[in-house]
Formats: sequence, structure tokens, C-alpha cells
Amino acid sequence: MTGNLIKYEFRSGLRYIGIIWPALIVSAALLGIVLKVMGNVFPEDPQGIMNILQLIFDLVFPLIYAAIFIAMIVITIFIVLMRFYKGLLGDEGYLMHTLPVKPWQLITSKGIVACAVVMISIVCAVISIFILIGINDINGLLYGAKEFFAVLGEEPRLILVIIEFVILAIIGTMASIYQIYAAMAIGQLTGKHRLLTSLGAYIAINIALTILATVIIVVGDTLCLDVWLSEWLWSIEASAGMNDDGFILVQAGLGAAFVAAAVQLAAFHVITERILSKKLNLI
Amino acid sequence: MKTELVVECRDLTKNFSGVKALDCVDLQLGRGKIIGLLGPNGSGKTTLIKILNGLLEPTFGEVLIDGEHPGVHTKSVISYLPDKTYFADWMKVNDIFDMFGDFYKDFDREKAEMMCASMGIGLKDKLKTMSKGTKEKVQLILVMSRRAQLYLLDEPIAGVDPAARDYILTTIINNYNEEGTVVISTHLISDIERILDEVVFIKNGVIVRHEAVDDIKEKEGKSIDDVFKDTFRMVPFMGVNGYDR
Repeated sequence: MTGNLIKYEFRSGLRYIGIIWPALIVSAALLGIVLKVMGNVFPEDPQGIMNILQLIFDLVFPLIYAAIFIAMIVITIFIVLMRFYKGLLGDEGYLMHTLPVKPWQLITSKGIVACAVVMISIVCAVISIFILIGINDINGLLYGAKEFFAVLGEEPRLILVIIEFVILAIIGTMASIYQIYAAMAIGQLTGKHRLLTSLGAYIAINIALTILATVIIVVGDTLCLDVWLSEWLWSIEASAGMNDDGFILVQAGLGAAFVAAAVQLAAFHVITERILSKKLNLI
Repeated sequence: MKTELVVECRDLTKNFSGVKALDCVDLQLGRGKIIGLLGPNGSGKTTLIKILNGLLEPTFGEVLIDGEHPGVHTKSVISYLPDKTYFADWMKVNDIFDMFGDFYKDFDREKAEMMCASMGIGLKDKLKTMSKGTKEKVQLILVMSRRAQLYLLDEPIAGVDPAARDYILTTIINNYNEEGTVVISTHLISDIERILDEVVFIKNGVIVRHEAVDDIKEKEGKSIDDVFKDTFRMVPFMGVNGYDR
């Protein structure tokens, strides 16, 4: 059933953003071509009519690209916020909460689709930038790629670090999305001013997390845990006969960040699930 | 195995900020009946229905639907018509039929499509651009195209003209699963009393009467509408000087 929920959630999300992703890629390609071709075709001549045309193109195409880029960011945020708010806490909730599924399945389907939309938007943004660079300086791009793969060949452990970064980015994004969900679930507990209460809850959660992180850092610093931990990790690296390059330290840092994000994700999921299970307040 | 009762409420209580919306409700509903849940506005009808279909948690007491507490199973046997339109604005009629087919094993798509055709609603019509009345018709089609054990219809005839009321009631009695039970909440008694087997009167969150329609008529010699008016009669405010004009 979770698969079915994801299917309908994706169809809903794609309706808003499905056209924006290819539009961004196409506009990046057009902008790249315009910048390259117009610059090559028309020589520098501020008084020439063709240069006025070039000026117009130089203004219009970047504006189109920027507008689509901004639209993608706005719609991505809209999908993250409104598909949860309207879908589970608004009138659509009368359908969704009476489907024969558990609340965690409803939340998970929204979370997975929202995370996927954010990730695809980021990938499209990166691809569009590479297209812009590639059209204008293909040699530079190819050289950069060649250098990158050469570094990977010399140090294959970087592949592991990159994969870990990607997983951490996904978990971190999910945790951020679930923080918004938890805030909205708290906000719906009040009959009136739901959005305002949600915003207040979001800020309160952020303050609580900051205080918690500060306490952990201060306690760790007071007990000199950071020094003890880094010495311990260096000794492990030395005893394993590894290069003195801090790889274990990076792994430990990534591991700690992963645990922190996963704990936040789990906590926000539990808060949201409990509220929607026990204190749902559809108006 | 099917239980004899489709709904069983024991000591069901729901408080909202200290105000009792339901107060120690004990209610048992059998199968194969059309039951009117009747009470004035604010009497607790919608709260009771929301608890039955799992949208609300009771403060105290317990509820069993088809022998189980509200959850995935009970939601799969309840067909619920809320007093809101619940469609996502991107959907077409086809999409919502697909969705019901995916989630409810008892959804009869062929029947739903025939009902749509009889009402002149196209399967490719966008729900977003439909009038409120047409959206309500589509919701009624969805609800009545299921072979559910329990139909919970919350104010299905409120806010519609008398012709539409007749149409809605005819649709309900011609299409419900006869092994299931239909609970219709309303305060418009005269329109529905002809189709009811039993009535449940609810007042200030308390069940004040639960009886078969034939028994009430035999005992009191009055229509359900008149009995309802007697039960829920309010003393009108006659003005400061008590003039009766």
C-alpha cells in the first residue's frame, strides 16, 4: 500500500514540477548556445544594430533561465510544504486518513516523494550549470572531469566518501523535511492560527536542537572528549598501518553526522506519526 | 468470521478542551439496516462518525467495528461520505476511480462508471473544475460503489435542493450492500424517514433514544419527524416583555 501511496503522491507532485525540470535543462542549453554563438558571430561593435540584438538576447535568455531556476526552487518548497499540509491536514485528509493504511505509511509516502523532488531539483540545477559551462568551454569541462577521475584513480577511497556524502545528503534532507512535518503536525493541534503555530513550532524545534548541540559541544569540550576521541582515532589509523591522512577521522565525522541526522529523522517521524494517530484535528 | 454487530460502542466519551462532545455513549448497531443518526446541530453526530471511522480518538471508552478497534481493517470495511469535498485538485474522475480500485478491494469500478454515465459525468472530467454539487455526486458514487460493511454518510442531504435530496436517497437505497449497514446523520428528518429501519437520537453528546422506526410509530402514532421535534423542542425567546406575536 505504501507503494500505491507513493505512486499517487508522485503523480500529484509531477503535475506541478514535471514541466519545470526539462524546461530548466532546455533553457540552460539555449542560454549556453546564445552566449557562445552570439559572441562568435557578432564582433565587438557597440554602435551596430546586430549588437543591439545580441544585447537583447544576452538579457532575455539569462532572465528566462533565472526565472525557471527560481520557479523550480519555489515549486519544490511548495511541494514539500503544501502536499503534506493540504494532503494530510486539510480537506484531502478526509480521504487520506480513511484509506486502509497506517499513518506512518501516509507520512513516509509524503516524505519520500518530497525528498525525491528536492534531490531531482538539485540534480537538474547541477546539470543545467554543467550544460552552461560545457557549451561555452567544453575543453575545460572535459579537462576538469579527467582530473577528477584521475584523483579517484589515485585514491579509490574517495568513491566511498562520495557515496557516504550522498547518503548523508539524502538522510539530512529527509530529516529537514520531517522537521517541517513535525512542526505542521504540532501546528494543527490548535483550532485557529495553524500556520502561525506551525511556524512557531518550527522555530522552537530549531532552538531546542541548537541548545542540545551546544550542550553536547560544551560537555564534550569540558571533559576533553574531542581530544581523547581524535587521539584514539589517530591511534587506530596508526595501528592499522594506514597513511597518516586522517581518513578514519573523516569516516568518524561522517558517521557522527549520519547518526545525528538519522536520530533527528526518527524523532520527527515519531512525533508526526503519534500526533496524526492520536490527535488528528481535521477542521 | 463476521460478528453479529457491525458497530459496538462502550462508554464512548470525547472531550474537546474540557467540553464533552460525546458522553458515555453505549451503542450497538446490527447488520443489514439503514439507520438515521438524528440530532440537532452540535449534538455530536459528526464526532461519533469521525470516531467510528478512525479520524478521532475517543477520550475514554472503546469502539469496535466488525469486531475490531479502528485501524486498517475497519477502514477497509467502512465507506465514508464526509460533509467536505476531499479531492486533490490534480485528479480527474478516472484518477480517483483508479485510486479507489487500488486501495479498496470492494470497489466496483464498473458500477461507478455506469453511475457516472447516468449522471452525465465524464471519466476524463477534471475534479477541480466541477461545481460543488457535481463533486458531491462523484463522492456519493465512490461511496456507494463499494460493497462495504458499514456506510457512514455525514449529512449527505444537507445544503441541497429537494429534488437532489430525492436523487441522493434513491441512489443510496438502490446501491448499498444489503449485508452492510448504512448510517445517515442528518437533522432533516422528514426527507429520510421513509427509508430508515432504525433511528438513533443524539442530544448534547448523549444517546437519548435508539429504536426501530416501526416500533416508534406503533407506540406513539406519530411520524419520526414529529417525535424528533418533541424530543428536541426548544423554547423560543419571546422577547424582553414576553409578547407572543
